Amino acid sequence: MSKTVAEKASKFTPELLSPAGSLDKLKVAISYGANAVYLGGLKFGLRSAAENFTEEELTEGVGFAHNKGAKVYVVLNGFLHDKDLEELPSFVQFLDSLEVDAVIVSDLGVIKTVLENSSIPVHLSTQASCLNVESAKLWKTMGVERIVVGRETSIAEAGLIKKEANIEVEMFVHGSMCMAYSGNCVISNFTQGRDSNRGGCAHSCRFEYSIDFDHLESEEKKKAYFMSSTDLNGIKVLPEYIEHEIDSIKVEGRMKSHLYAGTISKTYSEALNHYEQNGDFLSNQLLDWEKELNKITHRTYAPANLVEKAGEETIFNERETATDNDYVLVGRVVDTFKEEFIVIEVRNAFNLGETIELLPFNGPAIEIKLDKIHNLLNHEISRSKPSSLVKLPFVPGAALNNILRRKVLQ
Amino acid sequence: MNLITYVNSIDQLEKCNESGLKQVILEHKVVSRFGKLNTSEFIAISTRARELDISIALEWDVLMTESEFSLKSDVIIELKDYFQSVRVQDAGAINFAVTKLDKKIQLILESANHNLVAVENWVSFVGEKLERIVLSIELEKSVLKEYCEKLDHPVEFLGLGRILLFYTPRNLLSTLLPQDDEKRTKSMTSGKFLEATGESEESPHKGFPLIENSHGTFMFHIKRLFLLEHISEMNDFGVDTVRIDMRFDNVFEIDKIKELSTSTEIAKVYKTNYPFDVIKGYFNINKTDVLFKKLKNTRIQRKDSSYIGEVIEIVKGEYMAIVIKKNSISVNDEVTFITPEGKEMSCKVFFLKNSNSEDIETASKDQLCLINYFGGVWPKSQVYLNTSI
Repeated sequence: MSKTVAEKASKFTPELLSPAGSLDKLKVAISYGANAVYLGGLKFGLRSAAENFTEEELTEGVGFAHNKGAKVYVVLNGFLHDKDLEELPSFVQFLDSLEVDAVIVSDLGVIKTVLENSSIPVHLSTQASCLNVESAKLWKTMGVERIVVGRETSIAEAGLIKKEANIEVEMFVHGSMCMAYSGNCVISNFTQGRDSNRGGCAHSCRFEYSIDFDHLESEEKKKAYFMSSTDLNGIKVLPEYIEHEIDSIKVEGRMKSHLYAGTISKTYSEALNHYEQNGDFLSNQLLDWEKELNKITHRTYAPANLVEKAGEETIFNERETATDNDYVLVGRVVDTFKEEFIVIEVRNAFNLGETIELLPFNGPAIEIKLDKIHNLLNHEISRSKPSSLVKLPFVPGAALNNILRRKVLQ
Repeated sequence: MNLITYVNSIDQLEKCNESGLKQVILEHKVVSRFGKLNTSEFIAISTRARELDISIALEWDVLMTESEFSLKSDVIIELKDYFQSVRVQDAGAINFAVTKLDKKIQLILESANHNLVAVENWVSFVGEKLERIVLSIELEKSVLKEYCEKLDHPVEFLGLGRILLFYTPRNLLSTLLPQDDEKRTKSMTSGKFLEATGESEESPHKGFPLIENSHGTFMFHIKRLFLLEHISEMNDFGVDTVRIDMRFDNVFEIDKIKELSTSTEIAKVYKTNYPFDVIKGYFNINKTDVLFKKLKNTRIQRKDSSYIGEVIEIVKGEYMAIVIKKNSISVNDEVTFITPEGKEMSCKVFFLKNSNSEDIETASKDQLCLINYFGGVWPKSQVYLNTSI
C-alpha cells in the first residue's frame, strides 16, 4: 500500500553538515542552509594549510551558528603525539565554554582527553576507518556518540551499523575522496617529512605515476594517475540515505571556495527541505540539483562505495587541473545599500555586457545582465579586476554574503 | 629479546625452529593483507609448529566493511584450533577478539596511536587477553623507551622490513592492464599478487613497490626499514620482540638475523651486504610536524580583542576599504595594520565613508567602510585599534 504524503513527510530527514574553512565560509554555508558546520582550530586537525579559526573567530562562528539554529562541530582529528596532547586540555575546555555541539576525533588519546576535560559530545572521525558493527560497538564503549563511517562503507552498511550498534552515524555525501583507507596513508610522512595524519597531507595520490609491471617485458611503462579518486556525489542516492536513516550527511571541502560552500549547502538543503515537506523526491528535481552541483569545481563525479563497491570508474585518471566545473566564482556580496546597490568583492574578473548569476539564500539563481558596473569612486568601469570592489544595481533578494558566479566560456 | 617473523611454508618454519624462535606469524589469504596460505596449508604449518612447540600468531590485519566482516570472522573461527594468538588492527576485529575469541591478543597499534594515553586505553580495553602491543614505527626511540618503561605489557617493534605507505581496498593496478592480460583478473583471486613499481616526476623517490591482491592495492617505501644494529639498544629499552619481515624477499635468512641480533658489529656487516636500500625511518627523531608552520601565513590571522577587520581593497591615493569584523572604527581613531608580509604600520583615521561615499562617524561589525589611503598597506592586511597588538 502506498503511503500518503503526510505519512511520508513525517519521515526522518538527515542533518546537512557542511565544511567551514573560515569564518566567512561558515556564514556562507549556514546562510545557504547547512544545519551544521564542521571547522578546525589552529591546531589538532588535518588541514594545516587551511585558514582555520582563531579562538576569536571560533567564538564568533559558534555565536553566529547558534543564533541561526545551526550546530558547530570542531575537528580534533589528528593522530596526535604526546607533546601535541599536552596542549589539548586547555583548548578543549575553551571549546566547552563556547558550547560547541561536538568534536570530531579519530585518536583514542584525544577522545579520553576530551571526555576528561569537557562535556562535549565526541564524534568519531572517518580517519579512524570505522567500517563495521563490531568496530562501532567498541568505539561506543570508548565514549563516542556518533560514528563518521569510513568512506568504504555503503549506505546500507552504515544503516546497519546504526541499527546494530545503536549509535548515530554520519556519512559523506559529497566531495573529494581519499583513495586509501583514511588514516592508513603515510606517503607524505615518509616522502615529504610531513605527517599526513596531523595536517600535512601533500596529496601524493594525485600525482601521475609511471607504472612498471614486473610481469611485462615491454620497456613501456603505463602512465596513470592511478591513486587519484573521483569526487563523491550522492545527490541521486539521497533517498537511500533517508531510507537507512543516516543521521547526518556530510560534505567534504574545508579548503574549497565560497562558491563551493554556498552551492553545496544550498543544493543539498533544498533537496532535504523538499523531502521534509513532500516525503519524496521527483526524478526531474534530482536532475536539477545535480546540474547545480556541476556548477562547482569538481573532478569527475562518481558514487564511490555508496551503493556498490567502488570500481574502475572511481579512478580519476587525469591531471589535477582538468576539472569539470562549468562556473567560476565571481565574488561575494560584502555590502548592500538601501536597495540601491550591492557591493561585490571580486574574485574573478567580469565585463560589462556579460551575464552573471547571484545565488540568493532561497530560490533559484538570479541572472544579472551587466549594463553598468561602478567602482567605489562611482566611476563607470567596463571590466572588474580580481581583489577589487564594484557596485552593481540592487537585485531584489540579494543579501550580505550572497555569492555570484559566471558561466565559464568553453 | 625475542624475534618473530612471518612464515609461509614448513621449510621456513623449520628454519625458525633451528634459530630458536618460539613464535611465528602465519597469514591466511582471507584475513591477512599479504596472506597466501589457504586453510589446509595453514593447518599443515600449524600442525608442524605444534610438534616443534612453536606458538602460532594469526595475522588478522585486513580492514573490513560490515559485508566482509562475517566472512573473515568465519575463517577465524574455522582456524581457531590452529593458532594460539591473534594479531588485530581493525577496531571491529579487536572487539571480536576480546568478546568472542578465547585467544591471546597481539594488538597492532601501528596505524597512529602516537600517544601514551591512546596506547594505555587500548591496553585497558583488551585486558587480560593482551599478549603484546605492536607499536608504530613512527615513534622515535626516546618515546619507544618511555612507553616500554611505562607499559605493563610486552612491546613489539619492526626491526627489518618494508614500510607500508598506502592501503586501499580498490584494485588500482589491474585496471591498467589490457583486458586479455591474465594477471588482470588473477590479482583479484585470493592469494594471488600483481606486482609493479611506480615513480612520479613530482617525487624524487623512484621505484615504489606496488602490490595488488584480493584485499586491494598497497604501496611501500622504496627503502626497507633496517634497525638490526639497534637491536641491543631496543633490548635495553625493554622492547620484548623485534619483528623481521622477509615476506617480500627472495631469501629467508632468519638464522643469520638471529645470529646478528646478538652483535651490533655483525648487524652492520649484514647491512652492508643487504641487497636493498635501507633507512632508519623515524627511529632517531620524528620531525614530521615542523613544516606545518610554513603551510600558512600566520600574519593574516586575527589576534586579539582590539581586532577590527581586514583590508579588502586599496585604491592608491584615494581610500582603503575595510570590512569590519569585530568592534568598531571611528574618525580620529589610531589604527595599526599588519600586512601579509608581516610589516606593521599605524595611521590615523581622517575620514570614514560608507560604500555610497557618504561621510560617517563610526562603522561597526559587518559594515564595509572606506578610510584614508595609507602607503604600504596591502589587501588582506589585518586592522587593529590603536597599537596594542
